[in-house]
Amino acid sequence: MKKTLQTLLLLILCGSLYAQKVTISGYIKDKSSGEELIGATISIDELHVGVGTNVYGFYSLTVVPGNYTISYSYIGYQVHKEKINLIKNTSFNIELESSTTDIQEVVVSTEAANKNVTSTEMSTTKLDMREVKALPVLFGERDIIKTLQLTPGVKPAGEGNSGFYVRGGSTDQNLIILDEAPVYNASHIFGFLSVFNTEAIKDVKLYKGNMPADYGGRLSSVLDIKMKEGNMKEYHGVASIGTIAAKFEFEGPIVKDKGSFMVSARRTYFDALFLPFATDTLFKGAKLYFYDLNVKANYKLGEKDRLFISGYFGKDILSIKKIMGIDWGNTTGTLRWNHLFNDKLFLNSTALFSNYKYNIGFNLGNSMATMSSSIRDFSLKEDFQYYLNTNNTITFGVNSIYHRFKPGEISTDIIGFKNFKLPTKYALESAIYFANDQTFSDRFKLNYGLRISNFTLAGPYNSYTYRTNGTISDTTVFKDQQIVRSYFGFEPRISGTYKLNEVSSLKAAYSRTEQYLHLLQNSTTGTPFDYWIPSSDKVKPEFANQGSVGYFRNLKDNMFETSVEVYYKHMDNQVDYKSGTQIMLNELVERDLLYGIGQSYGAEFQIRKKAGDLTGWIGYTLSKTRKKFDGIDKGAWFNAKQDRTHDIQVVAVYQINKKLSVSGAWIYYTGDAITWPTGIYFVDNKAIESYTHRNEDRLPDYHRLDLGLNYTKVTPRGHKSIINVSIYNAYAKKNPYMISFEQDKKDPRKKTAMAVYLFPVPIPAISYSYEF
Amino acid sequence: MKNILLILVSLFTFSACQEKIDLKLKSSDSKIVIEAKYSSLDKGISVFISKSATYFGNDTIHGVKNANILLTIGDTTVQLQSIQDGAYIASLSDKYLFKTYKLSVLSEGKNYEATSIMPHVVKIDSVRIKEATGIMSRAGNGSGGNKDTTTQYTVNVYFKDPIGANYYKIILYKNGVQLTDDPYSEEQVFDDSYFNSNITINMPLSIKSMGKEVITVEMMSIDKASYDYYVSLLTTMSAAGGSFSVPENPLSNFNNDALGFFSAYGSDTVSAIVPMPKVK
Repeated sequence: MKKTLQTLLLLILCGSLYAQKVTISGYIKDKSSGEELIGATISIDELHVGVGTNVYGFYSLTVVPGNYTISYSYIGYQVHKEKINLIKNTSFNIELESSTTDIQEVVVSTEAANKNVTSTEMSTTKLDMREVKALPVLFGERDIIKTLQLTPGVKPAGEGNSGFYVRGGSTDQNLIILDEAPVYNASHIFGFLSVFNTEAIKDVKLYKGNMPADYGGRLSSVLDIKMKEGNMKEYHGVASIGTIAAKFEFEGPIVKDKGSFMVSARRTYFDALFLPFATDTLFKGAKLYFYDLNVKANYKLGEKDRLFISGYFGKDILSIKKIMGIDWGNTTGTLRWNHLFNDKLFLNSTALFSNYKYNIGFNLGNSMATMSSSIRDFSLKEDFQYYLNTNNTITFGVNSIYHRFKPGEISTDIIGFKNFKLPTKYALESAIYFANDQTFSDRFKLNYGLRISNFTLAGPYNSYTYRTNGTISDTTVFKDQQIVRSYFGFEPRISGTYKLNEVSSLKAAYSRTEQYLHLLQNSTTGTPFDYWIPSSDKVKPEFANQGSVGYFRNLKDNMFETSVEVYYKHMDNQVDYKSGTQIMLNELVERDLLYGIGQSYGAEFQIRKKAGDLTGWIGYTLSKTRKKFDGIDKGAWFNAKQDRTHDIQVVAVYQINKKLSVSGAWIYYTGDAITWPTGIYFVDNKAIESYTHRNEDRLPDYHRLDLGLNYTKVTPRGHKSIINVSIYNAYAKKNPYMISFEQDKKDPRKKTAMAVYLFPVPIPAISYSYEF
Repeated sequence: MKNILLILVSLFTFSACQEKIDLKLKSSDSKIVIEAKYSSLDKGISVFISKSATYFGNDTIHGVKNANILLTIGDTTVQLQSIQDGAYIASLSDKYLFKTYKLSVLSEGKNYEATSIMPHVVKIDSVRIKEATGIMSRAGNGSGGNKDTTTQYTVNVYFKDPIGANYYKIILYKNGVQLTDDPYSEEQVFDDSYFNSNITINMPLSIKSMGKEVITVEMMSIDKASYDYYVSLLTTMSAAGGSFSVPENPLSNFNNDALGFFSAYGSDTVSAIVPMPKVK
């Protein structure tokens, strides 16, 4: 360990001990809104060195003194070149101008042109919010997760489902964070939409493989979503109405160039629109809607300090008169303080809150029953960024999350039933990390880091020992704050790039990730009633090792980006259930869990056109994901549900003229692995299915085409009217949502397979928005 | 859970549709199925042995002949007699009730064994049948709505749960015929973890009736292995199709991959008459 540290230190210092150096630092912002630009590039033309802005738009670059031409660029913005005689430490803030189509003569950056080739980043997907808005989507309700599902290596968890699988990982192995706060259930209306209202979102980035060391806690991926800060200069807003929802967003300065705010709200009117047409009398007087509210504000306390506060509140409500009522939703809150110690050291301190809760109420005739469950986090983070020199950007930090789990409680007035509450659990999840993004030469760059995580489950807690038939033989009682079990995880993360020439590179990455929380799911598609449990003395942390290698090549003056990535991922301590396990309200659920391993490997091919009237991409993934559990199918390997051999996406946006664009997305994937009966038998006068191997069958292959059209009209006052039309499943492919086996009324021996299609016909949608 | 999802699916009635689909299922070797029951109300044990058949096939399911079946109760071993193809019985006197039993089945050269315990009978205090309201009025309807002429009733079964871990199964008979159409509402399998011992409990079940019919409630006290079997059977039946959960063979207490179960149980029955529905 000590030796490693020494080597690391040597590596970093090497080449930086000589000559006097000066630093140029500052913020890069959007000229019209004053919002910071994340991942904008600053490069010094003479030295061929560069750096990107961090998530707060801050950059710092240290070089030998001299006369330089400094280029500031950001995707979709005009490149700004600044000649600076750099002789002392300099602070230089710059505002870049968005490239409106009217100005043709200036150079518009397509993100440092070959950044995808030269950076150490691989296995990441960054969404351009303009792309999200251009693409067609179910119900016309734009959704960042639905758009991500159109990119290689990300697969939807089912028809219209906002859950997603990344490289063979399950839906609960994705860390989804909104302004750094974890969102524990990111779906509305049983998964048909995600909780992220596009009007409130500024930046979306998905790490599919080598997540940087500052992220942790989930095995497969990190989806990092950032809300808009709000315009620093003037008031703007968007109002829109669509097929199922209305949205409103408003932003503006609190004090010009010092502080701004943003509020955004969305509510569906699904209930008003569709329920009157529901054929079932059940839905008379029913409620079915959700809402989202995003708020954010920031204020500069001076040149070196800035405060941010943001929050998200969302809820789904489903109630059927006199029968049942269900609601569920997330609340998150983030308080951040940026502090610049000097032109090289940047600190972000964060306090976080996140809560997910559901409530269910049933009218059981003469009596009532209500149920609820929740998970709540309080968290503190300190994240430093140290811009040592042009060749080294160091990040390090510490964070801690205090989790409270309320797995479930029920209260009822049915005679004799007791009100029942599963014990609340408490845990502390902490980590320290260090990483360095180091340039060794013009050709070779390395990002290496280590995250050391700890998870401690504390009392009050009852630990049970079981007999072979599952009854409790012994109970160990842990008192308040007594440590039940503490786990450490060492998570090295490393990725490197070797540039072959200006337009091509080879990259490789390795990462290890630990996951201390496990989602217990009532169904393989995910429901609002799934709940998280902590690792404990019985439930071991899940961990994964992933290695990936990639070849990146740009063509035609960086107009086309192509890449091939190959990955292998091994997952340990995966969780599944014994047959007949009751998930909800089962205190002894840990007894019924099974542990096994999983592996996923595959190749992802992508070609992407970034510039011109026609943009888009074609992606193809060939992969295999399988699992192995002692208690399942006699310990044989079986296909995971998310195992999809072939996965193809073709996405295109064509800008016909300044006003009109059309788009299309076609996806194809191998049908889900599924278990169908291999035989039938009778017991107790019931016809029962018999099964042989798990997930040996396949649903029919899935494919679908969506089409979209955007018409934008700019009013004389500079406001925008946008009409969006989309058609989901344009050629009416019948993709089964559910298959069931129906029994003949007279002869129970006779069975018929029935398929339910949710969207067997093209589903049109229209929305109108007005930007002012 | 599946019901909630079905309700949701029915919301998409403007687009959703259901139709027959042709599936090519894999076939497997036929497996032995052993159904063995010993009720405290009967004067002995009955066993039925059969084989599983192809799922979409037309072959009828036959009993398996020539099995050698032995029941062991402590030091006593009894051989079952074949009464028809696949059916075997043995009469037992009352002194063998409420014991632990080992059943061994030798069929086609393979031996299958299971053990079951017969718990003591838990008496039904009373049965009250009322017209259903609330969610019970929807039970068994899925999302389809009331289209037939029958009325939904709640069958309230009152009993006192003894101290200690107890497992139950309640089944219903209408005019002497067991109700098997909807195993999720016309039957109940439960343990006592959700209610207080030693006070009167009400377990509600759901039936459809035109009124004036005789409903007989049979309350079975079962052992843990039988409970695990029934619960996993219900889970797997609701998972059939595999769209929302992975179905598996239910947990059998037989070894050697046999399907089915062996359950000894203490039973009590009470009958009640369904009142006429209120005129709507």
